[in-house]
Parts: sequence; C-alpha cells; structure tokens
Amino acid sequence: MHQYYDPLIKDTLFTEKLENGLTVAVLRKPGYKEATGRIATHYGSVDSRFIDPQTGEEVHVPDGIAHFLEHKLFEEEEGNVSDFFSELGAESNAYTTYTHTVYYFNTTENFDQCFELLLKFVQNPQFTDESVAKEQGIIDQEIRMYMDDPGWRSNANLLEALYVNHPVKIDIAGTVESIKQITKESLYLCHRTFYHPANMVVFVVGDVDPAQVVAMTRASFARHNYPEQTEIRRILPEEPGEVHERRRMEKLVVSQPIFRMGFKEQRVGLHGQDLLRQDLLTAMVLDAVCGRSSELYTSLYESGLIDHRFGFEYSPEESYGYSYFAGPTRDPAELEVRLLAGLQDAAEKGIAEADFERARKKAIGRTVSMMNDPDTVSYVFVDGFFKEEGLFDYIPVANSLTLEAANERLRTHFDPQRTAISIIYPK
Amino acid sequence: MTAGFTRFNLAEGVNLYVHPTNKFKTNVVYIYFHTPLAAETVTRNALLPMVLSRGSEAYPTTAELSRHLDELYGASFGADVTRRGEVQSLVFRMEVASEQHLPGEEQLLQKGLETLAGIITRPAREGNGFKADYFRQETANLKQTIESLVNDKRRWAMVRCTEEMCKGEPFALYRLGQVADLEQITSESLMEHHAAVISNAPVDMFVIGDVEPEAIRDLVQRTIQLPASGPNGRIMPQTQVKREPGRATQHVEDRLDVNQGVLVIGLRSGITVRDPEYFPMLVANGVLGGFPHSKLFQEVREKNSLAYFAYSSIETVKGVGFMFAGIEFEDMEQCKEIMLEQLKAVQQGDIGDEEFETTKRTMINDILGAADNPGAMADLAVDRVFSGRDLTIEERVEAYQAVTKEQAAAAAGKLTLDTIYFLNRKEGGE
Repeated sequence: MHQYYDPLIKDTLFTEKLENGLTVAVLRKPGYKEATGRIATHYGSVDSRFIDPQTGEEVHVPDGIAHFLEHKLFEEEEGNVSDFFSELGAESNAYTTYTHTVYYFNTTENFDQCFELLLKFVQNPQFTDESVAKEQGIIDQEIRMYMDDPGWRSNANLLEALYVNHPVKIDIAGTVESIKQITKESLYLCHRTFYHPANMVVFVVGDVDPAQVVAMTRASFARHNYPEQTEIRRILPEEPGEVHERRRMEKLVVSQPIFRMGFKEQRVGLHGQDLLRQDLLTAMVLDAVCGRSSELYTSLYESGLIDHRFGFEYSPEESYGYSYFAGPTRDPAELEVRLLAGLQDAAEKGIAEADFERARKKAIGRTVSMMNDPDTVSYVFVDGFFKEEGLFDYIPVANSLTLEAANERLRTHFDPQRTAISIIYPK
Repeated sequence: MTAGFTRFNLAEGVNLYVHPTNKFKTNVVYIYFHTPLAAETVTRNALLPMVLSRGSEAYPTTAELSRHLDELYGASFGADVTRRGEVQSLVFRMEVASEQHLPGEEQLLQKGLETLAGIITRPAREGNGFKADYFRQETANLKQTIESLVNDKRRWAMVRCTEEMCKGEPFALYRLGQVADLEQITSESLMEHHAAVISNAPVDMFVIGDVEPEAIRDLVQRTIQLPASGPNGRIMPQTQVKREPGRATQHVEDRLDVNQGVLVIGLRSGITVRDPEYFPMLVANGVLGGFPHSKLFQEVREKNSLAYFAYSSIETVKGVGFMFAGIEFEDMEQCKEIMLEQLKAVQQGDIGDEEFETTKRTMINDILGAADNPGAMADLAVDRVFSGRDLTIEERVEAYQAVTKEQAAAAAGKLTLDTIYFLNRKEGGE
C-alpha cells in the first residue's frame, strides 16, 4: 500500500491499486466520529455513446440513463438498499454528474457492515420492467422539480447555448421523453460496461484502518467474475470552438431577471497536473478580476447591478470547460455590457501583482479549510481522481502559478467571441 | 464544561463558550445576538447584518474589508439572521485557517476576531448613520432578496403555509422581514437600532478550534467591547406556544405558473425543547417523515411514485410541524390522504420494531457526527441555550435510546392538523 503524509495539511492518504484495476484510497482522520465510504464510477450523463467492450459495437443509449441507473441500483429484491443502511444507523445517498456517478454512506457505527453493503449493492444490479416503470414516475417528478428551479434552468440554458454538439448541453437527468426510452436491457448493458472495477474508485475518509478497507474491497470484488477490460471508448461528437447561440431566454416565476454569462473553453483535452494548473489559474484570475476585493465587483455592486448572490466559477473537464458569471440583476443588458467591458479593461491593464498574490493566499487558505469536511474532500477527491489530479497537489500547484501565466490566461480565456448569455426573465 | 465547551459568563447575558480541539484545520467563531421576532423590528434586524458587513471603522470600504479578509488566507466571514421559535438572532461568523498549516503565519485567529469585533461594534459611519450609499444599496438588496423567495418554490410554499397558519402570531413573520417596512427605515434609525441590539440582546459567542479556553476568554475580553446593557438587562426573548389550532382546519391555495405542485401540511404540537415529550416528538417525526426510510418517503414516493421528495419536519421552540411533498397537480388529494394516514399510523402506534430502531439509530448517528463539524457543533450549542438543558452529546444519545414506541406515539398524538397549503398551477395551464 502506498502511503503519503502531507506535511502542510498534516493528513495521510493511503492508496492501493488492486489487480482488477480498482483504486482504493483512504484519508485517515484521527478523532473523527463519523466515517464516509464512497464508490464512484467514471460514468456520467455525457457517456451516452460508446463502444461496447464485449461486442466491439457502437451503442447509443437514451439520455439520462446514468442518473436513472444510479436510482435503480438502490433497489434489490430484498428491499431498498437505503433502508439497509438506515438499519445499520447510516445515511446513504448517491449523485450523478456529467462525468461520474458516486454512491456513499456516512456513519458513526457499523462501518465494516456499511462498507461491505456499499460494495455489494453497487456490484449487484437487479432491474425488472415493473421497477423501471415505477422509477420513471419518480424521476419525472425530479425533472419537474428542476423545471421550476431558476438557478438550475439558468445553467442548463447556458450550456445549451455554449455547446453545439457536446452532450453536456443535455440535462443530467435527461428529459421526460428520453427516460421513457430506458429499458432494463439498456440498464444492464451500461452497468456491465461502466461498473467494471478498472473504471471505478473507492474512497474512505475517517478514523479507520486503511489495510482493513483494502482487504474488504479486495474480498468483495473477488466474489464477482470480471473479464479483463481495456479502457472504454466513449464517443463524443466533434465540438467546434464557436458557441451554439449567443443568447438563450426563458420565462419563469422569479422576482427579477437571472443573468448568466459563460465563456467557452478553447484549451480542451488536458488532464492531470495540466488540467489542475488551468483550473486553479483560471479560478485565481476570476477571483483577482471579479472577486469581492476587485474594482469590477465593487463598481457592479455599487451600481446595483449585482448583489451578494452574484457568483462565478470555472468548470474544467477533459472534453469541455467553461467559466460563468451569474446572479439576479435589475438590468441584464447593462450587466452584460459592463462585465464584458470590465474584463476587457482588466485584460489590457493586467492583474496587479498584489491582487494576484492575495488571490493565491485565499486559494491556499480555502484549500486548508476544505480539508475539514469529509464530504467536500470526498467530492474533490473523486472529481480529481478521474481527471488524474492528486488531492494534495492543490497547494503546490497554486504556489507554482505565475502572474505572467495569469495575465496570459486572462487575455485568452475571456474571448468576447466565445461567450453566451442565458437569462431567466420573470413571467 | 458545557458538553465539550468551557463556558465563561463575561457579563450578565453575555456568554462565551470555547471548545478546544485539534481535529479541525480552522478556528471558527460564531457570535449570536438574540432578539425578539416582532413585526416592528424583524426587517431592521435582517437589514443590520447586511449593512454592517459592508465596512468598519478600520476597513471603511467593502473592498478594503474584503482585501483584508483575503490577506488572512481567505478568512471566511458571514453575517445573517436566523430564527428559532419567535427569536430572531443576528449571527456573525468568522473562520480562519489554523496557522499550523501555514508556515510563517501568526495570530490569524486574533486578527480575525479583531476584524469581526470591528464589524459588529464599530461600523463605518457617516453623520449619525451608516454610510448613506451602503445603507441605500443594502436596503435595495434586502428588498430583492425578500422578493426572490418566490424563486424557490419549496421554501416559498413552507413560508406561505407558516404565514397562514400562524397569522397574528410573531411566528408568521418571514426571517428576512417585509418589503413594506423598508420605507420606514433610515440610516440614522438603523444606527439607533444597532445601538439597541448590541446593548440589549443576550449574546452567545462560540469559539471552536485549536485554542486554549482561558487565552480565548482574555482575547475576547480585550477585543470585543460591548456596551453596558440597558436598564432591563439582556433578556432572552420568549416564544408563545399554542397547543391547539383553536379553529377548524384551514385550506389555503396559491396559484403560480409552475411545473410541479407543492403540498405543505401544517401541524401544531405545542411540544417544545423544554417539555418531557421533546425527545419522543423528535423520534415521532423521524418515523413519520424525517428520513428516506420514514413512512412519508416510503408511501408517497417508493410505493405510489407520486413524488421525488416527501418529508416532515418538526420545530421545537414554537411547537409546530410540517409534512411536505412536490407532486403532480392532480395527485394533490391522493397525496394528502396518504400523508394524513401516515400521521394517523404514527399516532396509533402503528410502528414496526425495525423502523423504530432504525429511526433512533439514524438520529443518534446524526448527533454523533455533529462532533466532526464546527458549524453543527455551534448549532447544537445554541439549541442547548434555548433548551435550558445542559445535555452532552452522550446524554442526548441516551435520551434517544430511552424513547419507547408508546412515548413516540403519544407525542405524535399531540400533532393536530392546522393548515393544508397547496401551491397549484395557474388556471388555464396545460
């Protein structure tokens, strides 16, 4: 087992790669009463076209199937798995993102039993026509709930505007129509393909014995016969650098317009440290140029164009990426003009050294704070794992970034030709 | 010791609670000012933290304050109002990374605390009021924030149900107040209100982190200077508890142009954190709808596929409870019947051994897990202030374990139907 003690964070990460390709990692948290165990697959809503590794044939499955599968795995002949976790005193849940699916539990007792249950149920699909039909009713309500959620709709519309072909433009849950196309056969096919140990990772945070976690994982996976599997070929359509549409509007019951402006990443295809560097660099640039300490933020705020709910973020993945600025506003048109002008002005002047150093300090301090919370750490670990980023790389990478690189990034990323606007107007 | 916290009574109505631990990578400070939830002050209380957050004497502009916080390795500062029963509390929070992870850094906690004290007690002024621009901007922001409640249909439905259910009682007031009040507030009157709050409100301060209690006490006494209390002292506000609705069940419906209906059933229990039925009532709520294994989720979602979310919640300062679900418009009657049947089942003690034990175990897991999270620890500590009962985490665990099915059913028996609220679609919608 590989063991790494980070002298700055003062935590130890244990990792082991099993013979079947599965990575098991444990972040020891001495003194923590609660432990969280997770298993994740590198399979999200964008993976709807792929080559079936067993037949070599191309498959196209309905949109929303990864999320549907996540719901359905909890159901077993003996009952619902979340009830079994409850009986052990644990809470369990799962989530599906564009790129991965995660199953987890949190518990203060019966860790071993919970962990075994987690590994067992994720490897044990039991789908029937009836249970698929029943789930369609529940997910239908989930989709409708999001249809009334302006923040969610605002982001979904931005992605539809930014992307021409990339499936990130399709909602993670699919649509009311697409989920009707899902059958138990397609669910089994996706499970067999993507829930292979070589495509998965196990992560535990807590005051637990890492060797025991590895042994239990090995034993659990040994109960199944996994054929050797090479990397799964996912088929993504060609995506141009240009945006699909300049703007998208929707009307919902909201009190004032909700504005969102996105910039489409042009430097895609990165992973590992390169992707992490781009991620942290962009985040620091955003903070220096538009964070609460910046002139731009102050001027937008004091003009009443934004309030404390204004935010921005950079979302980098291997096959796509975008940054956005979003918040409610009294005047979306003016906010758009002022933001674009502000970004251009910042690019011409360049970021001042003091502002960049401050953004760096903040990024480092927030990384330290993040390590407090096992749920957040787990989210970051799993997300980073599939991008081949290391949990303890954040601070060294943040320290390695230069002002020159930041200014270069500022000039290239915020290209007014590569931007789209999404606005939710009051009905 | 108060459940892991060392308590210092710094002045009448001013308490400091310190929890030393090296488990966390940050040091966290919470400062609460408890005020009565009242129509006359609810909006001013909500506005005050927003204006205070804009600057202090030492950092008179928001940008300066923000830069200073960034320099403290991204110290995270927040100010808000929360509500427990008919008590509206102003909450100020500061979290700084612990220096042991930042070689060469010193006194981050002290600097953070000084900054926090400045924000609370020495605001940026102009004449006899706050800075006019900041006051004007935050008044506009609060108006927008109150109005934006409608953006979140679930919360909107809960707030509307509470409003209708508790009409005439302070509990009906929304946490952030009402837009109509904003016209009456001036920068000067808000400054007067600020003086009144910091001198009359009972104060609870919590510090959690790699600290030494006596050193923190000295540091707090040096840095946070509160004015002497007014003639009546700092008195903890009380909440009026109504045991029964005192009228027939109300039916309320709002219509908005939405894709999903939200059903909220408002209940009165009259059981508060000070009653012997407190723990049985929490367990009863857990059995009814606190968790995915609970009756509501199982019946409404898993058996009948009517909803994605279906839960219940219990409030134990005022003594009220809610059942809620997001559903198809035409399923409203069916969903309501199922929810009321489930309530009746709990009241009649129709509770399986397994679901009962599972509920208690899950609740115990939650309580134990709180010790891993500074925010949850502070939250529990505030609950203790409200309960007047000084239970440790272990004692709370025992109290849950001791609850019997009969006690839970009896507690649930106190839940009486008050208001059935439905957020429906606009007529003429598809």
